[in-house]
Amino acid sequence: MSHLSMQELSASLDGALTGPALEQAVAHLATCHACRDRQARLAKHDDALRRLLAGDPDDRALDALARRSEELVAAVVRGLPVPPLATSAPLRDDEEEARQAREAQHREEERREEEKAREDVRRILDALAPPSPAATVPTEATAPPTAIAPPEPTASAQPTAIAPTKPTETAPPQPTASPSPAPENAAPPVAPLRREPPRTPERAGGSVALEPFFDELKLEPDDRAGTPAGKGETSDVVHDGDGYDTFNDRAYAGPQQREGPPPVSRAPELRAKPPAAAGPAPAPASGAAREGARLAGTPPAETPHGPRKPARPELRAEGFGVARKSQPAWARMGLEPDPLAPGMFREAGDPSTGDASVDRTRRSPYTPRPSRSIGPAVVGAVASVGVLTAVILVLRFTPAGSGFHLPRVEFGRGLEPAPVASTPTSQVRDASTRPAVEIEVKPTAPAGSAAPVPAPPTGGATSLCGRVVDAAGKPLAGVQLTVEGTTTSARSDDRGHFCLEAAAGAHFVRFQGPGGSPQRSTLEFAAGAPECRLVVR
Amino acid sequence: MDSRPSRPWTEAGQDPELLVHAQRGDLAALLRIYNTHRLALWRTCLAITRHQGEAELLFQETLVHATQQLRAAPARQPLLPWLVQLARQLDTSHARGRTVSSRTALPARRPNGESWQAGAHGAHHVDVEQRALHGYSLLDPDDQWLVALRLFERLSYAEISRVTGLSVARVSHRLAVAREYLDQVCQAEDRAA
Repeated sequence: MSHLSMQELSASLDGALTGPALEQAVAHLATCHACRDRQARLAKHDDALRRLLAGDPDDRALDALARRSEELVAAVVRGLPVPPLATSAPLRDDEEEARQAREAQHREEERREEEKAREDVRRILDALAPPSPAATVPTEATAPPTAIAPPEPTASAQPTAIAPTKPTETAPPQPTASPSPAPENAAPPVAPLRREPPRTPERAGGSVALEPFFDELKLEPDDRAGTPAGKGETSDVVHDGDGYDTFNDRAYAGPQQREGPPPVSRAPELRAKPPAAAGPAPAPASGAAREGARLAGTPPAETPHGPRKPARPELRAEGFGVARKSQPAWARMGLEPDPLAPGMFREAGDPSTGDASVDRTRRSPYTPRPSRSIGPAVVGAVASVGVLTAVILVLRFTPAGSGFHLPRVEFGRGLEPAPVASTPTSQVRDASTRPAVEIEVKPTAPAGSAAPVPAPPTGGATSLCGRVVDAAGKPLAGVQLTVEGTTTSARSDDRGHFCLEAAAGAHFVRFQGPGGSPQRSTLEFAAGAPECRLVVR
Repeated sequence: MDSRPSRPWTEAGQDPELLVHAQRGDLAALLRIYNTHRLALWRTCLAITRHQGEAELLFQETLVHATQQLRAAPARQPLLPWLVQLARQLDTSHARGRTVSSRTALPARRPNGESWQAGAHGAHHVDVEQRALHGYSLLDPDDQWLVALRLFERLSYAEISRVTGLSVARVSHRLAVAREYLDQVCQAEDRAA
């Protein structure tokens, strides 16, 4: 079932369908839920748009708009200056500006809140600070005054006036609620708000904000500082982690000169006493371990900066590898430099002294094998090469009738075989290869003239391979060989080689070189036939 | 079809006679023409701008420009299409200075100036109205114009064809395309919500 198209649905919704199209659409909508739902969606969107944009305005608003328009039209007709356009509702740009102004005001309020919180923190810190000349400076003298602008009036109720000086231009914006500075609407200069003086916590019934906190501290008198701070009494005394009363210490000069915590590794007795007042530290009773090093029993000397580190303990001559730390690696491995081979090492023990206790067969895996004399090896190699050369020469120059001949070795294609003799012995390759048959191809008449008629083929297909050479024995490339009466043909390669397949028996084979005249000859195709050599004159 | 009178769009009525007087400097005749078409012109301005303040501004500017170009008004035709054409041209010239996002952004209030939550429509209707208005703002201005003529002025396809100069088949096709696009936008926003 094909659904109604969007155009049919739209036209049906608008009542633009008539006749059979209307009947068909009505019948389809009665049965098709999908099309009905789709049309209902379209109708829903139409209704929403009508509610938003098709409503008639309020009569009074429309009358007011008409009156303003009449003034404009009258001014245009009479040639008077056109009064500024006015709207009863803010323009979109004004709304955007008002929104930006609200956001800016919101950000300003947030900034003020942050500044106020920061000011509170600063005030608390000022209150907690020890009485010093710097702390007694009034805050007004150090902190800049904070200017807080009053909330700007939101004047969106006034009509926005725009003067149409040109058909497409609007007059400069009239003073509205926009944040741009307008002389008549600008906020009067606001005197900086006077900051409140910092509230210092009073010691008895003073600051409400700080009192409970210090009440909970339950501070006890500090006998070291000598300043009484009774239990339950409000005080700005702050104790550090060691129980030291910082603010009651008159010698305390500030956090910059405060000594940091003693190092963890320092002995507790050293940390308990000031370094300057501490005398020579007693030696540990039994060579006590200090920072993991074994002391030799010498007490460390004291310096104005603290206890000096003890002298380096005496190394043991024996034992766990302390004495070997000053030796090189090869010495620790039991080796010594080999005077005969610079850069090499040998087992410890001077051979010149005849130390027979050194086992020279044992080598360190890190030491390369000492070099030996290479004379015998060189002599042996030279002798081997000489012997082989002599054998080759002897075989090479052996007479032909002796029965021995060095196989010819060809490398690459540059060496062309010399014209071999016609004797079968010169064509021997191996025991199973018969000598090549040399066939002379002479320029003859076309096929079927005076040439002897070959015997008809008798057997199956056999192959005949060979080489085509000229009278000088040079291989001929590109010679087309065709077995007459068949479609078999071949072309000799660069070395003159070719292979033909034909039925066993004698066949006329036609030869035609590139640019030469055709020639023909009779070739015998037989199984196991030797490679032939076609000499083209 | 709907029963809203479409004569101002298609029938000249007294416009030619009044126009002659107005062109001779008769302010009363000119104001009578404007009062005849003010409601339709107001709806068109609201449909074009989708904003009450902008619509009022466009309404006044249209009348000022029409008064200035009164000699170019069609002599024997209804003046409402000519006025609306002026309004569309003005809005186009104004819209050139705005970004597309500012033109298609959902306004903070309803086009008539009320808040979105005003009325007893419910949240669902508000969503539907906002999506429909957003889809309408994304339409091509010509398609918006066709939709306004059909939905707000309730003109028939033949009347729309006469006002716009398009064929009836073309009007039907363009309206179908506009509705389909509106449906797609609303469905996409439904899915995104």
